[in-house]
Amino acid sequence: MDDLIKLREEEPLYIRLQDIIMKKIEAGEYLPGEKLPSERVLAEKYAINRMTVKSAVNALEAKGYLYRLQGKGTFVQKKDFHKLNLGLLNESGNTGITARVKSQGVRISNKILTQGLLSGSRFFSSKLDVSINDPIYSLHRVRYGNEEPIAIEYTYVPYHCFPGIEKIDFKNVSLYDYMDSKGRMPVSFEQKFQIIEVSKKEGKYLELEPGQVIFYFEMLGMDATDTLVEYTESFTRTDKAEFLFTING
Amino acid sequence: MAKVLTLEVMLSKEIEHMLETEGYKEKQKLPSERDLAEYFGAQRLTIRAALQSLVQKGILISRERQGYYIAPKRIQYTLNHTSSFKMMIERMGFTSYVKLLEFEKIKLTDTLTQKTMLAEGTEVFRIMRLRFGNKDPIALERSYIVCDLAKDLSEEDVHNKSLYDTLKNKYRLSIDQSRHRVSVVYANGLESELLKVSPAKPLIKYHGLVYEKKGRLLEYFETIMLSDKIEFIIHRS
Repeated sequence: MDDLIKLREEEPLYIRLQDIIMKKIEAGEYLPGEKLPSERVLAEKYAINRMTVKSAVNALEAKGYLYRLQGKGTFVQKKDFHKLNLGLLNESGNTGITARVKSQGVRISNKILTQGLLSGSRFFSSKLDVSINDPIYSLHRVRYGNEEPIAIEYTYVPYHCFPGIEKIDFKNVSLYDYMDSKGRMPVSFEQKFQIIEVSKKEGKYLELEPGQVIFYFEMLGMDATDTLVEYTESFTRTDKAEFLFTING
Repeated sequence: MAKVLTLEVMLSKEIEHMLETEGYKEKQKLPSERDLAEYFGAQRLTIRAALQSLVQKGILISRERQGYYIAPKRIQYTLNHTSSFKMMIERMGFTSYVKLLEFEKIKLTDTLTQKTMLAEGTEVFRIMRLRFGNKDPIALERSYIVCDLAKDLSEEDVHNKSLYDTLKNKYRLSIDQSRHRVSVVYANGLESELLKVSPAKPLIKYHGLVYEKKGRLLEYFETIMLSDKIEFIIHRS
């Protein structure tokens, strides 16, 4: 009971409980993906009522520290859980905008549409700030959740940052794990998204009719040395996913 | 050019680059299909397909027998608390106005109790405002402010004024980091009437809980926006 709520006495209880849970997550006492003790157990442990525990857990869910699974409990947010890998990079998943699949417990899989090197494009070379004849690796994927299409991602990276990338099997290897292994993970971003009507081509892969809308998302990613390492365009179904982001105070 | 991308995709990107770098302005007319075909050394049919894909992305609009034009710009909605919606609208050269539709003190409804996890019966100010840009409705803003944190909040505080400025200046409440969501919804009767759209039209729902610096829940908000008028932007390092 020694970690019993003894912080600033003037704070409401649910805020003091939030602080305690956050500190335990930060200290690694609760690990990413790990289940939090039930609300009943927490209420008993800290000798507070369950409504107070619910408020604290809800606030931490809203802040992105925890997530709930219907009928299963509350869990510590993990890096990659049921999120598409749009700009989702740091431990708490709080970097910029992320797309999140609405339904819980969805297994994400990939299909590669095309991959390979291109050059001679003024558009892509200027986006990635390379010379027009420098090779650019292009990776086009469809992302599925439980075998249903959710998003299409067109990703472009400068080849000089990732020589040999064309030999990697991105059906099974995560692009960010690969970029990280080369020490060139994107860490800062410029992102934008809007809602547009799906085109015929993307509609075919996403199984949408013409006229239906999608999230159209564009991102530039810079690594720690401020080098542009990624340009991505994605098209995401609005019925399957929503966008989350953190607003700073 | 490499074959990983089709010629049509490559051309649409080259045209996009041309529009970005050659200072094309909104509503400006593009060169004809024939001129573009000549300039890019491509077939007219391929150029047409490339232009069509830019129409679909909302970059161009096409007018029958007249050609292609740069589409009107969307309001760039910057995702942070330092720029207000009013500033973002004015930055586009529009006049901004927010009209107060409803202001009342209520006890939380069941749905709101679930969303906020506040105790049943908590009193909130229910505020509904309609946001205009150049006299056209752009967004319907619903906000629920916990009464205890903003006692005596009045209609005058929120009519055509920034709510967050009032909270900051009058109540010394500053906003903490919080997570918000964007999804797509369809208009209900009230929303379609106020925003002047058909119920079949997809709208943006932007919603979330707002906490103040001491960690207390201050607000639940739900803003319904016209999906073809807005582009969200975030810069983060």
